[in-house]
Amino acid sequence: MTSERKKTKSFAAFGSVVALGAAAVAAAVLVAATASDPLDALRAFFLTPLGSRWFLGNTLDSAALLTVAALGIVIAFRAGTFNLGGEGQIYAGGLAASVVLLSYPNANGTIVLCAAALAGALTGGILAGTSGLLKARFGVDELISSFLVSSAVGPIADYLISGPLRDSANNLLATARFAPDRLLPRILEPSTLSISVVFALILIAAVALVLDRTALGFRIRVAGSSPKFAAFAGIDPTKYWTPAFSLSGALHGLAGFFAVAGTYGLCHRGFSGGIGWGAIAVALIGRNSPIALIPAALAYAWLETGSETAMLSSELSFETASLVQAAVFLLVTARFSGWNLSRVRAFLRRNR
Amino acid sequence: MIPSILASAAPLILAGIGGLLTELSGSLGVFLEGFMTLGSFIAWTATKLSGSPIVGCSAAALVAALIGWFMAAFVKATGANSFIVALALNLAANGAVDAVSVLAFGTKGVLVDPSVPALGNAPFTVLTALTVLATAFVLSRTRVGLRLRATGRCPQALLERGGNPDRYKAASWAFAAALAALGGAALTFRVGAYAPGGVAGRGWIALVIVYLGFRNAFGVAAAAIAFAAAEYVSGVAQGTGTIPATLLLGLPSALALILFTVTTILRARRSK
Repeated sequence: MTSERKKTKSFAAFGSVVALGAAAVAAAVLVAATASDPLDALRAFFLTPLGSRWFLGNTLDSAALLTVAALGIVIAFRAGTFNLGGEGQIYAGGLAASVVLLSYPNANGTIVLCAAALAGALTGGILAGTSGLLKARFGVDELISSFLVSSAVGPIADYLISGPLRDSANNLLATARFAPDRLLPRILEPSTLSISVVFALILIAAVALVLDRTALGFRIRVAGSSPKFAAFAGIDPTKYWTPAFSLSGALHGLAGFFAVAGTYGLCHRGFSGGIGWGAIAVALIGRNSPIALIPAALAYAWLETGSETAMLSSELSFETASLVQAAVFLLVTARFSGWNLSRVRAFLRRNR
Repeated sequence: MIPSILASAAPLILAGIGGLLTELSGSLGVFLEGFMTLGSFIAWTATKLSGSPIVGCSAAALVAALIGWFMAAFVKATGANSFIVALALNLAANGAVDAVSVLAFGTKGVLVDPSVPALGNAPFTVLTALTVLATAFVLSRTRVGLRLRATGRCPQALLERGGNPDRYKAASWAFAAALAALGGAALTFRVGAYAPGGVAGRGWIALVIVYLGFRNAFGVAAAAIAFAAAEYVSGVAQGTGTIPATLLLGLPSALALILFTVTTILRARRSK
C-alpha cells in the first residue's frame, strides 16, 4: 500500500515535470520564433531570471504572490470545491486594500498596512464566500457562480480605478502612490521583492499544518475527496464548503494586498491580470499539496518572468503568459498523473 | 429593435446549442469561450484572405471542429481531466490569437479590412434559427439524438446497444466547437471587424443559458433571446449616459449570475 502510494506520488511528480517542461519548450519556441536573434532571446529567456538581483527578486516576488493565491485554490479543492473566480477576488482584494492604504493620512503606517491586509482578505473572502454559501444552501454550482462573480466585479474595479479613485496628477490609469511608510519593506532592492515572501512561507506552513496534521484538516479532506464516506463517518461534507471557499477567497484577496502594497506601490487598472490563472496552474503543478507549491511556484514564476523579459527585447511583443498557462493546463492532468480530480469528475458526470 | 435583439442573441444561441450538445453527452462546455474567440478571429482572417464570408465562416467552423475532436481524443487517450483541458483551450485561444495577430498583422488591436464586410442582422439570424430547428429535430426524433442523450445519462446502456459513447462524446465536442466558432464569427460579421476581447464572457453566459433553457434547444433559444433583450435595455441605458460604459461591461455576467442563482433555487424548492 505504501509503495503503491509512493508510486502514485512519483507518477504525479513526473506529470508535473512533463507539463512544466512542455510549457518551457512552448515558451522557448515562441520566443525564438519571434526574435530577430533567436539564440540571444533564448539566453535572455532561460538565464536572465537568474542573472541579476533585479530579475531574481522579481521572480521570487511573483512566486510569492502565486503561492498565496494557489494556497487558496488548494484549500477550496481539499474541501471538494473549485474556485474559478480567483482573478476577481485578487483584483477586488487589492483594490479594497488600496482604498485603506490611501485613507487615514495621520494614522500609523504599520497599523494601516494591517488594516489593508484585513480589508483585502475580507473582500476576497466575502466574494468567494457568497459562492460557497449559495452552493451549500441551494446547490448553486460554485465553478460557474464564482467565475461570474469575478467577471462582474472586474469592470466595477476597472471603473473605480480609472474614475473616482484615479490620481489625476498621474498619466497611468491608477490610484495615487501609497505613502512610503505604507509599503511592505523591500528586501532585494532594486527588485520588487518585499517581505510578502516571508508571509507566503508562513502561510504555507500554517495551511500545511492544518490540512495535513490536524483532525480538522483530515475531516475536510475526507469530506472533499469522498463525500459519501464522510457522511457515513458522521461528517457533513456541505459544512466545510462555505468556510473553505471563504478562506480560499481571503487568500486571493491577500495576494491582491501583497501585489499592491508589496509589488506595485499603487493600484493600477488590471493589475491582477493572469495571477489567478497562474495560481491555478501552480496548484495543479503542486498537486494540491501546500509544501509542493514552493517548487511549483518557483518554476512557474521563472518561466513567466523569463518569457516576459525575452518578449520585451523583441520587436513583436505579445503576452506569452496565457500560452504558458495553457501548456501547463493541457498536460498536467494527463494519465501519468495520480491526481484525482474527483470533485470535477463528479461534476462532469452529474447530468445522468 | 426586435431584429437587433435577435441578432445579438444569435451568437449566444449558437454557442448555447453547442453547450447543450456537450451537456447531453455528459460534460460541461467550459471551452465555448475559447472557441468563440478562435472563431471570431479565424472568420475575420479567412474572409480577408479569400474575400468570401462563407469561406471565412466555414474555415472557422472546420478548424474549431478539428480542435474540438482532437481535444476529446486527447482526453480519451491520456485520461487527462476534461475540465482542465477545456480551460487550457480558453487560455490558448486568447494567447494564440494575440500572438498570430501581432505576427501576421502587426497589431494586438481591432482588425479592420475592406474585404471583411458587416453583414447585417439577417444571415446569422436565419442560420441560428435553422440550427435550433435542426438540433431540436435531431435530438428528439432521430436515433443519433437518442444515443447522444444516452451518452450523458447512461453510457453503459449505449454500450450494450452497440453504440460507442466515446465517439458520441468526441462528435459532440466537435459540433459544439464548430457552433461556438460560428457564434464568434457572428460577432465579427455584425460589425465587420475583429475586436480582441469582443467575446467578453459570452461563452460562459452560453453555459448558463443551457441551464436556464432546461437543456432543450428551444429553451436555449428563448433564454438567449431574453438575455439579449436585457442586454439591449442596458445598451439603451448606456446611450442615455447616466451609467458609465465601463460598469456596464460587468452587467451581462451579473445578470447571468442572478438568473442562474434564482433558477437553481426555484428548482431546488420545487424538487423538495
